[in-house]
Amino acid sequence: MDNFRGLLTGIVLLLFNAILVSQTTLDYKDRIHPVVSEKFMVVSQNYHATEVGYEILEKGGNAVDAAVAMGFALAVTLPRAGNLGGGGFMLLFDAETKNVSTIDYRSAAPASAKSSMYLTEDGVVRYGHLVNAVPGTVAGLIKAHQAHGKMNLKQVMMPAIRLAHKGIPVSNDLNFILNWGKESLLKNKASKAKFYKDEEPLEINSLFRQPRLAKTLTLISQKGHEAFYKGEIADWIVEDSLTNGGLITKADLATYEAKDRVAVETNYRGNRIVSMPPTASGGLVLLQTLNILENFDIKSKGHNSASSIHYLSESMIRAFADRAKHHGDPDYYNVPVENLLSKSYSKEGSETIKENIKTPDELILAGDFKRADESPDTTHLSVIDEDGNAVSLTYTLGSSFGSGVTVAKGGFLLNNQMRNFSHYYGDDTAEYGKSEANKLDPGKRMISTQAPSMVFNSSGDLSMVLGSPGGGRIPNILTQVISNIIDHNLGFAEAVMAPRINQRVADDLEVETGISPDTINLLESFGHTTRPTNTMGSVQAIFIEDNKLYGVADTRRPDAIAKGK
Amino acid sequence: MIKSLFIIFAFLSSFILASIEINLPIIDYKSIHNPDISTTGMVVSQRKIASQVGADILSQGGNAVDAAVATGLALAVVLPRAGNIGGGGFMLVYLKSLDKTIAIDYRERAPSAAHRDLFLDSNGNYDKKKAQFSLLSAGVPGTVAGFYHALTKYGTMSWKQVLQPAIRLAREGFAVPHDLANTLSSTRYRERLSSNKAAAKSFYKNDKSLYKAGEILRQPDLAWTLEQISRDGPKAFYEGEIAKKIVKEMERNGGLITAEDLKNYIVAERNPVEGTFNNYKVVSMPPSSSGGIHLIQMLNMLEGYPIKEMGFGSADTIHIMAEVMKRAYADRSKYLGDSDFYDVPNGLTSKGYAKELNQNISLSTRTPSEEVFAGDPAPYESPDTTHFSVMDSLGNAVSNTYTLNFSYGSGIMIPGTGMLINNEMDDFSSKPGTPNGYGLIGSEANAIEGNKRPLSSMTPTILFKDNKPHLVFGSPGGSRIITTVLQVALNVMTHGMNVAQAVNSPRMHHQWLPEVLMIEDGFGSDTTALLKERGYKIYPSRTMGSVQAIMHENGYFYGSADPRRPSAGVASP
Repeated sequence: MDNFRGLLTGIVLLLFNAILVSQTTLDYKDRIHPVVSEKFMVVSQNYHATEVGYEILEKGGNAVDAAVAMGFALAVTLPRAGNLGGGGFMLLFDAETKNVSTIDYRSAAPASAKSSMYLTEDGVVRYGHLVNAVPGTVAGLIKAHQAHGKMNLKQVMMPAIRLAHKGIPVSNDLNFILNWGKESLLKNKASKAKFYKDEEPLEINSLFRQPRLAKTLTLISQKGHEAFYKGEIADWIVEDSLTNGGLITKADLATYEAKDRVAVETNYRGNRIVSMPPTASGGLVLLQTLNILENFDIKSKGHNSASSIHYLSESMIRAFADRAKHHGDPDYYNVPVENLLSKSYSKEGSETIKENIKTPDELILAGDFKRADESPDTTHLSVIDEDGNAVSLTYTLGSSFGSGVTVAKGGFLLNNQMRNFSHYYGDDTAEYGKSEANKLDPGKRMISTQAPSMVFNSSGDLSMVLGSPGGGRIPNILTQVISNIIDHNLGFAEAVMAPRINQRVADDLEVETGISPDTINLLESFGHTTRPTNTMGSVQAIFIEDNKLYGVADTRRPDAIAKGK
Repeated sequence: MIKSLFIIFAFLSSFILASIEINLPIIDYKSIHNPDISTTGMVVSQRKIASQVGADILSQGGNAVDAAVATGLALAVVLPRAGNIGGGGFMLVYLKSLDKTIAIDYRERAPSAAHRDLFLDSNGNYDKKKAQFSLLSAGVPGTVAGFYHALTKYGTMSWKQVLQPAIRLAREGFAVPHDLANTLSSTRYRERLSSNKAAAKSFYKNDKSLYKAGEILRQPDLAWTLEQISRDGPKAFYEGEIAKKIVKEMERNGGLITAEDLKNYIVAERNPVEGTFNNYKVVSMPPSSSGGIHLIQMLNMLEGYPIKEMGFGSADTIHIMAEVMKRAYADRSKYLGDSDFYDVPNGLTSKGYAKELNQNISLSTRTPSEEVFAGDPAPYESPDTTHFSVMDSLGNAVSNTYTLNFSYGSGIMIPGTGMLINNEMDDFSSKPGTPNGYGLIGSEANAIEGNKRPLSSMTPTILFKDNKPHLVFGSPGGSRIITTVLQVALNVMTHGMNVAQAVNSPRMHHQWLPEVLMIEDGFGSDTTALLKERGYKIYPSRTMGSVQAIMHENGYFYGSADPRRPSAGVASP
């Protein structure tokens, strides 16, 4: 009778699942699915920007045209992170040569900046003109376009100009974040006039026009790099800076250059992981973490089990400890990239990891890890065009809305990246911020955790284009997405939406909502102290498999969207 | 002096209070999933294009019922596997002006000639093919009558006006989404639909090739049918040209539905079932659906446990939920049927009964299903049904679930109408009293009888908070509908999730028999290991349900279209 029941059960179960369609493109085992397309795909954190990228690709532009167009568009439509007055990094994949190149357009220190200027009783200065670093975004976007774009600059910038000129309806999200941003924005006259009415944020659905920004963008579309770094716009920046206690001079702007760098890479279980090199330090941390993780059979431990999370946490800590000591602007400091990425070095690190027992903080090499934290507000976009060229681009103002300073005549915000140097270098009594590698020098770039990345599968084909905002959490966020796919074989959208953890040195294990209470209990029994956090990052990724493109826009930040054809 | 100090104090404190950052509920940075937001009203359905139809109706000044009917008719065109005019379902309507919720039962009715042995073969065994894919499987469709009833009694617009968008979509066509292209191309449905001449003509190209995602699908026969109904009302369906075509097909191919059956079809307006859960009021669908009763029964039982402390997704919580589900489904198999034909006991939704059942539940030990009640499981129900939710700015709400039963019903299309016919008759217990083969049998309560409605699990629901509609939702999923709706309700009421997080979170299911614990991906291996230790047979399931939900609070509408079934979407006026 029992056997009969068992048979009955079996048949019913077969029917439960058989009756549901088995998908080739869409897998009904996943709760959430990617956007699928065959020719091209665009993913960004902002609906308008995605539309712009899609439009450019439809008109015959290539991936770089689209990425550059989106970079300019985000300055208009996502003012807290999209920018002209900040800086960032990008990876470019050329489908014909199969080459990955990178552009470092991180913002840089003005010549006259000194660390003593930034230290106050309450810590490092946060807002205002003093913390503005020389912006790199325009240089970076123009450089990319000049080297690889197909369309002309005017065509590429037209959508952004149009959005600034015609205006966009204020979203719930923008209104909400402007409330949060009052602290820095209301202190600056131009920002206050631009984003607020009677000290209240722009109303939801009201039309947000930015005529000065439209003018700035038009000038750039006409005269390129020169317009921003030597011409009229440079004059506006300098005038605003010098009359308000800022440090940026004409010479600083004239000498700023976006730089080509050689990507860093490693092999993770047969997959080639490629990321941004210093000045971006996130790439190194990501690769190092994966190198350490590779020593363990993560697949067998199950996705988001206490065991998996434990190994992630332990690997992350070791990779991060090195960051504090060794990462800096490679034009000023010799970053030991080869050593850091050597498999033997990582194996050594992995040998100090115990199964199911958290390594006490004191045993991790004391590193300079508690530096001024990078804001979670940065933004990433990913693009693949019809020919298979790809761009992975992350850029930022630093904090949301950067320094809060709007260049009055230019209509754009300036970053507050000067905060991110190790200003306490030389002060032995300081607890953190002492790293020599990242100390402030004239013209130097400060390190960043941004890590626009790409993955190639074991056949050598491009399989992932991804990146994320999230400050110090970026490399750990990407580690998990990559491991979710390679180790746990999660669906593409599931891999991005799955709850994440984060582990910094000498800190609690941060967990997003959605990790099982049973797993949390187990982790605590291993010696971890967990802490629930707000959601981490906003991964905008494209996955490629069997000649199809799968776009995934992270649901964590509103209005993120993928679109393809 | 003191007076001026007081004034200064009052001034200062109001200034301080004004600058305290209000924690706006709009954007929730703690949750991975976030709802769509609106202040003007909202429609959520399994096809964004159909949701937009509803939103447009709201923009034109229609109320929630106008929008719901328009969306339902549009779904018949753009979601042919479940959206329908050839099937039936259930609708809850809350009208602010009456401060009342009405339950509209437009479930299909068995043809008058139907009888309890209809699906037994000459050996007395259940004949699956007959029950599911022959014309005998068709019940008298209720959708057109149901929608017309709702619109004329509770809507404000004309029947013609709300039919317009659906007619346009059928005539001018719409871009085939991936989801539709996939189901039509899958072996199972392609075979079934291609073997029916009319269906093949509607859903495949002239050369029998497939529509690709993005191509335009036009359905001229369906447009004709909708135009007939628009011009002459439901009479065109139940007595006119369409009825004639249905009867002709029945006579030609051994179906039982007669002209009289069609003419005599009636919608039943009922009192909803109601319950409470902490400070919420739960309003849901009574028989001929079993959903409302068991939703409330399970909530009554769960109220007695510290679910929040036990935590979402922990083995402890899943265990309690499985135990509660077991008892509810055991009762369902014994007691539920069309209340117009069978006396469904009242006490199932009482707090006292729940308390009684709870006494046999242990926090640590699993109760084997035979110990709950020795009996036979209910017939298998198809997961393909569809739900949509509507709320307007006047405070009205509509929660509607309807279906053809299986995806694309029996695969039979009534020639000349562009309309698929349901195979709802299989939801009856085909052979009560005796177990046999796959013939999963239920009880007498749900035996086949002429004019009776087969038992359903559809659970369109509205939760009320402070006497106002707070959550409007429902789901497809066959027998899993009730547990899906239960979990979304708990996620909101107990776990405090926003509506998108509530909908997106992974789900489990237990239905007493077969005795397995079905779980979606996402609970983690530590939890499943603990459950296995307690003796649970874990079955990793494909995704369950497709919840389309709207939450209303503080003047905001928050919508969530379940990502489990692609192309679902939220639209607002």
